[in-house]
Amino acid sequence: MKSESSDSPFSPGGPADGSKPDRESLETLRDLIVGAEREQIEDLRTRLDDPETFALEISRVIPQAILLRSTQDRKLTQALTPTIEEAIKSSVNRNPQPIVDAIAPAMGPSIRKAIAETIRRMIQSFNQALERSMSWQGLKWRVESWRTGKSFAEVVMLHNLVYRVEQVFLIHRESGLSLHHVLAEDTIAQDADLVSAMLTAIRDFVHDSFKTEQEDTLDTMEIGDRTVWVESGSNAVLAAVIRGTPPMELRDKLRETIEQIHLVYREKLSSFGGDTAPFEPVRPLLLDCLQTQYREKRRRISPLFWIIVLAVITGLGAGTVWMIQRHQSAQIALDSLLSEPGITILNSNIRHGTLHVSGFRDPLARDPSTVLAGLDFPSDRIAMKWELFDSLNPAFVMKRARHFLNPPPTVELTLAEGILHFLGHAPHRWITELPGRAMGLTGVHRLEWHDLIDDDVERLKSASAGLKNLMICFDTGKPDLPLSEVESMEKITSVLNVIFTQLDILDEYGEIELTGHTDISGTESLNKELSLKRAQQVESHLIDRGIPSERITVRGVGSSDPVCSEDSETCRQRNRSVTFRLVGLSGPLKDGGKS
Amino acid sequence: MIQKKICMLGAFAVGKTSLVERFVKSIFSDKYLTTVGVKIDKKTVELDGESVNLILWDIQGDDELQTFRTSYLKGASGFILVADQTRAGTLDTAERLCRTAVGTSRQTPFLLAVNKSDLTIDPDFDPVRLTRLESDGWHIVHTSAKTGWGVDEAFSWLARKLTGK
Ligand SMILES: Nc1nc2c(ncn2[C@@H]2O[C@H](COP(=O)(O)OP(=O)(O)OP(=O)(O)O)[C@@H](O)[C@H]2O)c(=O)[nH]1
Ligand SMILES: [Mg+2]
Repeated sequence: MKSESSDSPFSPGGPADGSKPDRESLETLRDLIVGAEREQIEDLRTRLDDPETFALEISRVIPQAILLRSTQDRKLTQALTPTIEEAIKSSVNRNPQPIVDAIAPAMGPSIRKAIAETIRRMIQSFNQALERSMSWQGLKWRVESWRTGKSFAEVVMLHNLVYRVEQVFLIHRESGLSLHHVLAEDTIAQDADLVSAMLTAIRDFVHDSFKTEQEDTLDTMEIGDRTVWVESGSNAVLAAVIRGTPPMELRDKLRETIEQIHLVYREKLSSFGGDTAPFEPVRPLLLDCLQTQYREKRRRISPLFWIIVLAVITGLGAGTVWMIQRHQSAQIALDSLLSEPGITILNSNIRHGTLHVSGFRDPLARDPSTVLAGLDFPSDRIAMKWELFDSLNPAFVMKRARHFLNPPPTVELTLAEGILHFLGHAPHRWITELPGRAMGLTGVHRLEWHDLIDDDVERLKSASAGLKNLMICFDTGKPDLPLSEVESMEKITSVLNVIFTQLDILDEYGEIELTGHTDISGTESLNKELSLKRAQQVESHLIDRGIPSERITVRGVGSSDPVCSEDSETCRQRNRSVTFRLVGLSGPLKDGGKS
Repeated sequence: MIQKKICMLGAFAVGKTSLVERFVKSIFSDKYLTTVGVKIDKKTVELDGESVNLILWDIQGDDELQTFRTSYLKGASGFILVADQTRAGTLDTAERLCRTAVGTSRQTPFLLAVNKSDLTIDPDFDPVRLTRLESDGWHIVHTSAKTGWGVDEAFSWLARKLTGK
């Protein structure tokens, strides 16, 4: 600069060392030398000192300055970051709305998408859980799971699935080392390191074997029921293990992902030396590839409907079985009533398991309720209407006969073709009442009691037979009753009492005839007199003992009608006696006959 | 997690698969089942408190009938060349494979496992050759997949070499 070089004589040291300069002259000198620049300097000072002007100046260059600096290094960012952070914080503290407004357009869609996805998954898993637990298909799948040895969840998934990305590997292309690996829920994890290496080895092998172009690599593999899709970038490959039939959009998704990874990690991928830690942040990108698509469900009838149908069928079935059982038990009850003697059923039907019967019932038959009680048939399930009647069933005729005739145990009854036979023996009184009692006995046409022995007749017969063997003996020529015969008198009296009692029972009449006898010694006229006296003697004794006199007749036969005709002392003794006979019998007993 | 790809190289039947089996599963079998293509195994080793995943590529033995598949070698961090001391010729194969895999620049770490050291050495197997190779910068370990001798040592030497520890 020209002026500067001319300035050199007036170096700062000059005036200080020289004589004290005159202030005014110095001022004049200054004007002379820098007069022209002085205004400029003044102008500069005002620009720098006046904040308004200075701000105006800087505002002109700030955009260029920032642009310039940020291309040079990151200092500006570092410098500004705390301030900006502080500014945002204070802005949010004061009023979050502007910030919210600003970022909402960017955040909103992704938040909504995340929420929708979560809800969709929840509903889906709930639906599936519900369906698999109840449906017929669920049962089929259980069988399939058991048959194939696959887990139930796996079987369900296979059937519901269009496709599902089970695992995604990010593999370093050259070394085949696994950079990162994600897998879907419920899938069995393989060793990602081994799988990555093997995939790479296979691809290498194929590449070598077919001598393909560098770009032309194996990108689809079928392994069992899984498909592996490989999408390669220059330094890394993305391998997705898929079940089902994936759509082409998934390919696009994989390609996008690997490209994005390359974009972000290019540096790290090309310098990869085995440390996988820097690739940890790719996780969300890989997770995004774990897509699943389930089959569209045909609108199906709700499982509840089938449950109800099943319940109704079961109910009807059970009801039918119940009805059949009720009907059967009613039928059994009816059968047992039909076979019960003394009961004749005219009308019967079974309605809703209840037995309705009407008919005749012998009063002597078992009570129907008793019959049914033995069958455990509830009494509230039977309605009965009975008319009383006399059964002609032989057992009932007999029953009735016993009931009405009330025979003593010594009588045996038999019934044959309406004829009632009596066997054995019975008191006279019962026998005489028999025809009256038997009158109107249903089922009995005739009584047959000829073989029936009358107890009272028998007793009379045996008494009168005994009487014949009894006699009172007298001393020779004497009419008086000897003392020794008093005892015989007693015996005769009691026999006579029996006889008269039986006669009363049999409603018969009879008398006792006393016959006096003598032996052959002496004259017959004297003997006749003696024998009559002897009979009269016994008569008076009997009357004394209470035998009614009008029922006694006496006669004396002397020796004309001897008891014993032998010529011996014993025989003669027996002829000196009185004998007894029952006479004047009326009716059937006349000659010891029967009734 | 640090991952490293290691390739096992050598002539057929030298014991590559056996060495890997011994190292990974601690087992040994007398049966010879030749490897077709490549067999991959994994072993995690702890080096100074840090886990390193070794991905072992056991590549089918080299023979004259097929051309060697170099694509398996891509991205390998290290090589284990295996020779069989009962067959002298296997050392030639190891040297040839070293040139293919490691190249002359020798940037990738490698070692030579002289295997089957439990068996008697082939008279033609020249120990002087081993000394020469060592002076050429080769790291040599005598191993036996059968007894386990030197196996862990070989692998962990390489692992350390790879991780720079
Ligand atoms: N005694 C002994 N036998 C070994 C040893 N290592 C391997 N073998 C045996 O050698 C045979 C071959 O072993 P592999 O491990 O299959 O050999 P490889 O190198 O994998 O063979 P390819 O896969 O065909 O290339 C097998 O029968 C092994 O039992 C060892 O250290 N000692
Ligand atoms: Mg093998």
